[in-house]
Amino acid sequence: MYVYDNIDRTFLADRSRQFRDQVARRLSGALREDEFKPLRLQNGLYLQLHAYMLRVAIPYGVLSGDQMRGLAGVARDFDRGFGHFTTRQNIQFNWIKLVDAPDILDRLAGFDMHAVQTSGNCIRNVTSDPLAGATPDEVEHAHGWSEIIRQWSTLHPEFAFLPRKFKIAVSAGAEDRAATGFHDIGLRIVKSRSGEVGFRVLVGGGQGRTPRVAQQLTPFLPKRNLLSYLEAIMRVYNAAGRRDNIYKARIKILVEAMGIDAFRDAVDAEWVTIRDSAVELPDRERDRILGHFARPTLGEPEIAEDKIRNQRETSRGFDRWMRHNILPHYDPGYANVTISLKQINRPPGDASAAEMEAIADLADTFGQGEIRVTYSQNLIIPHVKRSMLPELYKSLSTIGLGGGEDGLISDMICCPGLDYCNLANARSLPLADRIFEHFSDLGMRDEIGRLRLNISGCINACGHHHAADIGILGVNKKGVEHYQISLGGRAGEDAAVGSILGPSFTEDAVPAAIATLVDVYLHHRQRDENFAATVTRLGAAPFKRALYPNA
Amino acid sequence: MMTDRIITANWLQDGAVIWMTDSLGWSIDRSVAGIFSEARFEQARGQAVLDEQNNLVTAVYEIVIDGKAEMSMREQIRANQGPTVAPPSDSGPHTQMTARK
Repeated sequence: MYVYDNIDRTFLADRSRQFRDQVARRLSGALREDEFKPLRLQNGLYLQLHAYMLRVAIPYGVLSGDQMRGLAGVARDFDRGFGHFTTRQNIQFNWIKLVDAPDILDRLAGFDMHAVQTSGNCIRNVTSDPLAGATPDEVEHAHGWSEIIRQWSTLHPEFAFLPRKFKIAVSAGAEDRAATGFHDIGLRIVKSRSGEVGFRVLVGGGQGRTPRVAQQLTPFLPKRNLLSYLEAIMRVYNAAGRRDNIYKARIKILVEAMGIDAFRDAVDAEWVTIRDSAVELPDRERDRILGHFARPTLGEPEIAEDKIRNQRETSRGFDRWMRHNILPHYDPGYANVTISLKQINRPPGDASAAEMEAIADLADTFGQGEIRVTYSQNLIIPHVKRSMLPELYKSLSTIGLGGGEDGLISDMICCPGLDYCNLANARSLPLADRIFEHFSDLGMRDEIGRLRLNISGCINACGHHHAADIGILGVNKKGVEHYQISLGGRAGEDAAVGSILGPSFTEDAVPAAIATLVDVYLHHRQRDENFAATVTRLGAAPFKRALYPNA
Repeated sequence: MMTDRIITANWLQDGAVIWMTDSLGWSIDRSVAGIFSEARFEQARGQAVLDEQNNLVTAVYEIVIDGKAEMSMREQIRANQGPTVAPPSDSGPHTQMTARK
């Protein structure tokens, strides 16, 4: 992973000092709230429903064990002893005091972390494939390029006041594990027919009240031109994106208004003026950054399969965990392990300080001291020897994190909703719990198989309900929480926006409504067909009929 | 029709949710929130604006007491000073905690 040098550390120390001064001026009244708000937002500090909320950037979702322990310390010393991992691979603390914020940023800087650009109308934390550098299906390590984009976009003076927030995702796998189709810019690292590696560039994706799947801007961009091309896109958006209406300010609206071809022409016209200029990253700097992302030296794997087979036969929990939470590694003697943060009575994505510390220790012991945060609000320990999987499972089970839920109906993506968020219309966390309880039978969850169920507490769609097999959107109907259900969304290679099935349900009625949809699937599925495939084959009609029999 | 209102905000320093009391101070205890009739409301709001200008409080707003607005889920959650589901904690496996529903 990338390791800070003196330039990075000096930069963070300066930034932290600046913010300390800004907070002092706010507290003294030298800065009014309307002046201070954009400054605090650019340091990740929101005023939420109960208190200030601090969103800490986890660049492309990668943490060292020490950083995870550091975050646990922040949770314990400045918050209520837990943190919330988000779909953008960041972590949020919910009970921050403004007076403590400068000390927290100093603390974070001490272990090379910060909250820069986790909010505000700027280029946000770059997200990426949580398996990058550890998976057999990738063209190249996506995190090196993510880091290059992070450095380029951090405090980029031209893009500090964009029309609206801007999100970039990078993915290099055959499977898109970074939802690139739902980002302002999605970058897929691809290989051309001649074997050259470059980027397929997508633009104009996003969720919120106007969900759009990104369109292709270019099928192949040479690697050396990445920064000039990104800069050209940003310039077109910065100049032409709408600033008069917050709901029409994202690049997806601009791309749609111009049409993808006219947008491409505008980008190309800008690009010719800067292509191959000083905007491009010098080769030496590129090599320096990419050098941090070399594959780790892995020990010789041990013979493991007999041991694993025996263990699977005797432990049902281990068998489920192996089936759902073990992801393939480029070395067949190794594995990538998902730690599921989805359980009954646990808000999806939440982890206590003690759990975070324990996970850091496990990553040191069983992996390479590295932890990845996933888009689906789980954690991954990459590079684990398969022979050590039984021991790792045992250790995870001891701390209550041995659940094998990855990709199942229980693996819900869920925003904090009205329990924490100032924007929400309805709660999402208790609903996630009730749905989990409804499907509390392990065998039933296994029988249903892969099914993405996502919940958002409002139309801003932080819970990615548009991109789910079953999406749930909280709405406020005459003062009462209601939930709209949609079907057929997906975030991967074939990204699609789900369609709303009909009128909304009360909270009490939602679990049974979900069960109805699941029953239609179980009844109609063919052989090994998963939920998404059945929906694609049948369309929404049979699901709609079952859900609204009297319609 | 006479309208009764309460006034709420956050402490600037720590962000805690607070209510204006009958004596025009602030409390984190919702049960001691002053209910301001039309006659007293201007005075109460004037004090809130002053406190905001003096950098004591932020995000001030008023809620009309109509049997609905002040009872909304949002205001109940604010008044309870926390979420309706228990977050995980260090004090033991979270699965043993009882959700506050």
